[in-house]
Amino acid sequence: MIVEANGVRFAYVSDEGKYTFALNDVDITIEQGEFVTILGHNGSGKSTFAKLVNALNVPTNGEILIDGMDTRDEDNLLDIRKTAGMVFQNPDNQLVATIVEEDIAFGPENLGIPREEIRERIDYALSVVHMEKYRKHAPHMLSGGQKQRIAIAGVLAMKPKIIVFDESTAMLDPKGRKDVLNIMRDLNRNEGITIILITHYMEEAVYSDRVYILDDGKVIKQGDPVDVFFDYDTIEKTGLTLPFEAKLIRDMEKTGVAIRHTLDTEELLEGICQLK
Amino acid sequence: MSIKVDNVSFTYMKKTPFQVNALKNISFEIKDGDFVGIVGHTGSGKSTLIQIISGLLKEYEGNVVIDGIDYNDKKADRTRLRRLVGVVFQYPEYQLFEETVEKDIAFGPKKLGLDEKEAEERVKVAMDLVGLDYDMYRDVSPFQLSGGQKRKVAIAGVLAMEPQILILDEPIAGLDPQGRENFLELIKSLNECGMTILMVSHNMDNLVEYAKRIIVLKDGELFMDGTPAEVFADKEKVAEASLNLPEVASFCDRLREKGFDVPDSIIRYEQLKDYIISTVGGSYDD
Repeated sequence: MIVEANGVRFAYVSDEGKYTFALNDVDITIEQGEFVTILGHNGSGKSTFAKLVNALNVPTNGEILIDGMDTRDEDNLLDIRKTAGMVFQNPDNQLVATIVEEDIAFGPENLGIPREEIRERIDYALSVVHMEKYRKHAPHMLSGGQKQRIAIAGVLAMKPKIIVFDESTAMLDPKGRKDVLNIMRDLNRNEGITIILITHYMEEAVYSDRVYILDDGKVIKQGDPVDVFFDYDTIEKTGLTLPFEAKLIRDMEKTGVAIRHTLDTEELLEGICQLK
Repeated sequence: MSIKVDNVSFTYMKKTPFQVNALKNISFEIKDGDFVGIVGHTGSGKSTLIQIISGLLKEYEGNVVIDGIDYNDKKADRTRLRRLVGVVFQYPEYQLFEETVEKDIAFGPKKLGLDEKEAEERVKVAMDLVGLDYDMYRDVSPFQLSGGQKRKVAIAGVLAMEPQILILDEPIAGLDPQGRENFLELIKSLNECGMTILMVSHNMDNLVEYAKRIIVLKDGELFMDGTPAEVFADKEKVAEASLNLPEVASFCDRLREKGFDVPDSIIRYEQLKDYIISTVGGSYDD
């Protein structure tokens, strides 16, 4: 297990000293190489969980182990941050340098990695995000999607085993979103990196191996995307929406039409053809 | 409240090597009470256009006339224009600044010179419109609210100015699914009350459900203009403008490839659903 959260609670303390549990008794386990999506409405605890993975938050109760390392142990901090990288919503908050390659080098330089290897890591990271041509460009002159790809390259240069994407596509235009999603899938398939995707877009969850739904700080459902999205009641109850295919199938079922559950457009089309 | 855009052009960083012709000879009219979606690929000139219509960019060529008042007219009552046109920018919650929700929403009305009582009345109406309980939230700090609620406060601040035209730039980016739907329903109901809506969005699925008309910009030019069904029927032009087809339209295309005779008029989800169900022989119980 690359991520193992056991009975995790996380409390925020208000100014008046009142405790609110953003996460309440959460168990989440993720295997090396999995692509896992975490869904839930605003305030469900998704982002709190994301921050637990690379020890930006530590649990109030319970434990979270990252590649076997307990995040509560401060001696593990550096290794945990090397293991689990994060890509946030707004790339402007994550870019630090005025030239793309310097930005990507920032992390590895701080680790004291030799120059030659840093150069190799920059080459590698830029090629994975298809931004080789922009090596000498200024990040602030790039589009949102391109900036986000540079932010991903910066994380990749740290050679992490896990990357957490915390609503990283929310601010992008459709092309930028598609590019970033494709890169996530490449990272997972080709580089073997474990992906944890936090998102409000149901159609992005369709590609994952497993989906967790958080509601009020608790895991209320987990399983493969078909299992999760065809549990219509849970989806509705938590204020989420159905991906297009699931919505159409649900509406067909309501009128007494039986059709195979799928999130794949091609399979849905075939199902409809058979009914004709 | 009608909007007339007449032969408008705009150039950024004029007479420098970075000169960009953001808008080129744009002309169109928007009638009172319309709901218009403005779409285009990143860099097509959408944001420039709405900044000009809201009176924020001034050095343009051509004319913009709102309810018979031309921005360029030296005698134009600019204060009146500013009241007529409300603008909700991307991530409007970043503009919240006051200690309480009530003070934040009342800021604009007070600047109009309204007294306490009148301003309070405006705040109540605006909060009611966006669905925030006045007594529950008036004294709360806007910064303690959730993302969706913050955005409601921000838009209430714009509505408290009682605009006749509401311009929105990607108003639902970053909201959760429920928040998105609530927000779009709110805009729809404002439109039904007679407010003219201009909404910039990349989300074609939302626009086909809500907009009555779609204006497509490409490289600073007016590229397409029509009802959602008209615009998305011309697949080649839509692709040329680097736009995605709405989910429903692209699914209809796939059905046509499989031999289904799907009418061109099908553009919204409900229409598609009814078509499929009638084709495959499902029946509604009620």
